Amino acid sequence: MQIVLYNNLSEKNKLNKTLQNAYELNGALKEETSVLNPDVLIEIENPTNFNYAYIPEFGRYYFIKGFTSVRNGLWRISLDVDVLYSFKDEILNLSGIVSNSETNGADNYLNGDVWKSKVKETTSIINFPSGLSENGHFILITAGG
Amino acid sequence: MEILASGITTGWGSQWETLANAINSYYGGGVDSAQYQRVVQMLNSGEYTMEEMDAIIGNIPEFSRTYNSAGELVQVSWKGSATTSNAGSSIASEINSNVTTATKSQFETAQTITKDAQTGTVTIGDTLTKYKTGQLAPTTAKGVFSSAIAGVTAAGVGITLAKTIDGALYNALPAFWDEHGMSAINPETWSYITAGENDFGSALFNLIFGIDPETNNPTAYIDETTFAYMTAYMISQGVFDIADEHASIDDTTGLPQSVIDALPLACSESLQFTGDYISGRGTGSDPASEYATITGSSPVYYYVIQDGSSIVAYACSLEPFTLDAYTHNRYGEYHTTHTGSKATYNNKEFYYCQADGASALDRVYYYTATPNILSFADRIECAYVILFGVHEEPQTIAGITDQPNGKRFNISGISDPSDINSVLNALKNQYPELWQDRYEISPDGETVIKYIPISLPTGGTGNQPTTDGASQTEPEVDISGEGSNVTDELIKTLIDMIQNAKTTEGMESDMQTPTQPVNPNPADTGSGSTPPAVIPTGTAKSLFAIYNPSQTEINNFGAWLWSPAFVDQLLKLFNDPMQSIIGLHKIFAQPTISGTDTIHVGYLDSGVSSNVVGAQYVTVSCGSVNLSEYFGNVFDYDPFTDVQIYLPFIGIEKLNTGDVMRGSIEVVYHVDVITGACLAEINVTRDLGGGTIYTYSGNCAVQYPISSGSYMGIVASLASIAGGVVGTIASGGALAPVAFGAVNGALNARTRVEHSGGFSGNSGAMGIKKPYLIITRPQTALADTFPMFNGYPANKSVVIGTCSGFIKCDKIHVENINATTEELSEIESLLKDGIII
Repeated sequence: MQIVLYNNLSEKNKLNKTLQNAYELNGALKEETSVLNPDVLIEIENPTNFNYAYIPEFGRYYFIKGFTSVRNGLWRISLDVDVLYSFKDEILNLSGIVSNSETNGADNYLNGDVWKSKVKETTSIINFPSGLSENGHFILITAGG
Repeated sequence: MEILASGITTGWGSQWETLANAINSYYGGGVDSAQYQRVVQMLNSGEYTMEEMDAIIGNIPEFSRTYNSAGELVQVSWKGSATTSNAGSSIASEINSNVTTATKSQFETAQTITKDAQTGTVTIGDTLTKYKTGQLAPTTAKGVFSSAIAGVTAAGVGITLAKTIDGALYNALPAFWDEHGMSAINPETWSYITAGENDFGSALFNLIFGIDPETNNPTAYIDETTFAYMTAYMISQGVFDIADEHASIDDTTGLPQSVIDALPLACSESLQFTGDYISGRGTGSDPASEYATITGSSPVYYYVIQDGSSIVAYACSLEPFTLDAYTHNRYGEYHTTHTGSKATYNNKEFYYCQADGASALDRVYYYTATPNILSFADRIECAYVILFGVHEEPQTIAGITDQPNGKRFNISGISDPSDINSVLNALKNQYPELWQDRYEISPDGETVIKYIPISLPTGGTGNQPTTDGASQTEPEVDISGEGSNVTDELIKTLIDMIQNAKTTEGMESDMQTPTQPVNPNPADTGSGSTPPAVIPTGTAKSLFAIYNPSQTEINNFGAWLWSPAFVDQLLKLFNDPMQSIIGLHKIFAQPTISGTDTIHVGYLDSGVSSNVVGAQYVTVSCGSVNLSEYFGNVFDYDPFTDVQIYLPFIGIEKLNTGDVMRGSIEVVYHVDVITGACLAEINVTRDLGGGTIYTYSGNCAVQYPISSGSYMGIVASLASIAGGVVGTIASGGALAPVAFGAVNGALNARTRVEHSGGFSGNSGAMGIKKPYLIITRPQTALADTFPMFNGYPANKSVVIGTCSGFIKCDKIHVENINATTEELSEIESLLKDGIII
């Protein structure tokens, strides 16, 4: 079984991974291992520089969870499927309602816990152009017309 | 208010104000802005008459004028407070207040406009993304969209590509930037990049003006396709052709004529030096890569001599140097070390060596000789001319030269300028830094349009712009006024560019009032207005008379009141003469005067002349103010921003921020001159609708004691002994008429919990007589990078692929994915937790 090892520089929750230093080799599945979390035996001097893998036979990409040295030059790597990169194209075609967005759909007038302010405030005054009389006017009311 | 001095420029100065205000109002200004300070500076210059200034100031809404009794302008003031200005047009006149620009936008979403090349349909995008060298991630940004004419656009591209343009160009070729010629390069692309036509029939190109937040200086950005197209046009016109260069040298003693004639025929920094090596050099069936490392204190120059069919490369320098050359081809890797040999020619010392395999040097000059003119024997002479000669680079086109130390555009790989893509790729390869400081928009969520910075011409006008100080390395236009590169011509050009953008098939680029969103959801504008207030008229003139005497007239009346003649006669009618005086108070509104008469008491004529009040009610308008959004987001509303209003004789009242924000607020007082009762109406106009939203009542009469009883009534009212005063009214006693006003004041005294106490007429008279708004805003504390970690709040149906950056889904249907149930659940969970696209 072919397996390709990579260095993944991207965040775990990033859809499109940036992979470097592809290293292709053959491995063997450990008995009774799952497709989603396989353990693979590989012959390699030292695989610990890699953190990501691709198994073409399964059509999936994996995070490398751990390394176990079986003997000199033989390693067992534990993998955990990366569903985002494995099904990237299908995910991009999904429709949904976003509640938070860095770009598309962002609304500055929706409430949310992201709007943080300090306890301090600023006060502004806007004067109206005019008002009542400053000095006033006498009003004298007398009896009779 | 901020008071400014006299003196303001006319002509281009008024245009400068228009530009400054246009930018200022869009981005939010105030007295701290550079534009405002510039206007102050111009006003203080004292170069112009008050009449000239008056005419100009009158056209600028941000300024108010004060005249003396002779009608002369004596003062110019800046409206609004230091932190909140009423910049821009009246909100009340805008159809849709939702698109009124906030005075300070912290989250800057621009209205971007694009035109589909195929259909001509104009669409409005959502967000500009700004990329900037040194920033970890792109940010949302703001830009002012405008259009530019062909000449300015093309000249700006030329300056960005290290060309200098002066007026000599137009002396020889007045229509150098001929649009007909431009459009012929690639008509299809021309149609795509042009935004329409201005009033003069000239094609327009969309530009974005980004504003530096610290200096407020603008920088123009142009989309990359237009950039490449203008470059292609200039290529077709020979702007980037390299003319035959001639070397001149002072001492040509012994120098072969062939060397003088042949050197330097071409000087081109054609070899891209990256680090210590270049790669991929070599052609044919034996490609090779070569690189070299050089040690030396002076630049090393590389030149090639073709002698017959043989070609040999050399290197030379003023100082000793060592050149380690490496060649890697299919046969292997070869390493040769060359050391510069000392040579002397015409008493000049220098160093040279053969440089096979050393194609990469700093400051490389690639020399192409005419075959068989030179021989290898001329290698020393060639080095002498290269190192000590003066290289003249004649202009290929009069008026267009190269900027000193500018990064020139190499067109050697471009065979067909009409292939805009090849031109674009060459630009990207040679000027990657321009794309590192770009704006991006994605109007449909898929297409990405990139805008890159260009340097604008700062001189000339219209389609004959000149460089005049602009350079490749300084795209920002300094408008500060001190040491700036602003000229009259630039101002006019910029103003033409900003204000000549026109409506084309629904496309609007008005900086004051951006266009309405395409699909408001739901209806976001109000309508309707409140019914008008009808003030009652008519009064019982036969039973009492109302006068509006002056202070002197009051004094005279009082003297007559206590004269023996009055008392003797009045005692025949009243037990107490003071029963004839119903009331004396002061109101703080100008009553309506119907004429003058002498003051009568009963049938007695005092002989004291006084104005006669003709109407019981009077209306006083306190004017209106605009309340614009400051942040342009939730911070402008409750609970973050609090709006209160101070009303004379009433106190400070809280207003619902949502009622008044984005509106024009007017305060109108209705006053009853007899009792002093006043009703303050707060009228709010927004989206061309609105009316009286709030009403508050008070009393604006100050009672004057004219008898001991009336005095006690006033004091009792002020001391809130309402029971005794009410009892006086009920008994109909002598104190009743006088106490009426006082009781009215007590009954209308309002108690304020937050900001003010009771404001009866007597105490209100000591207060401020002009209303004002008190706006309390938060100091925001948002992390700059929170959009990439958390995103903005959103509630929109999207296709995931149309988004970029961080998103978090509220609802999602995970379907059409050939994955296990566990994987599907994990996908849904991750989408709801947030992913980065």
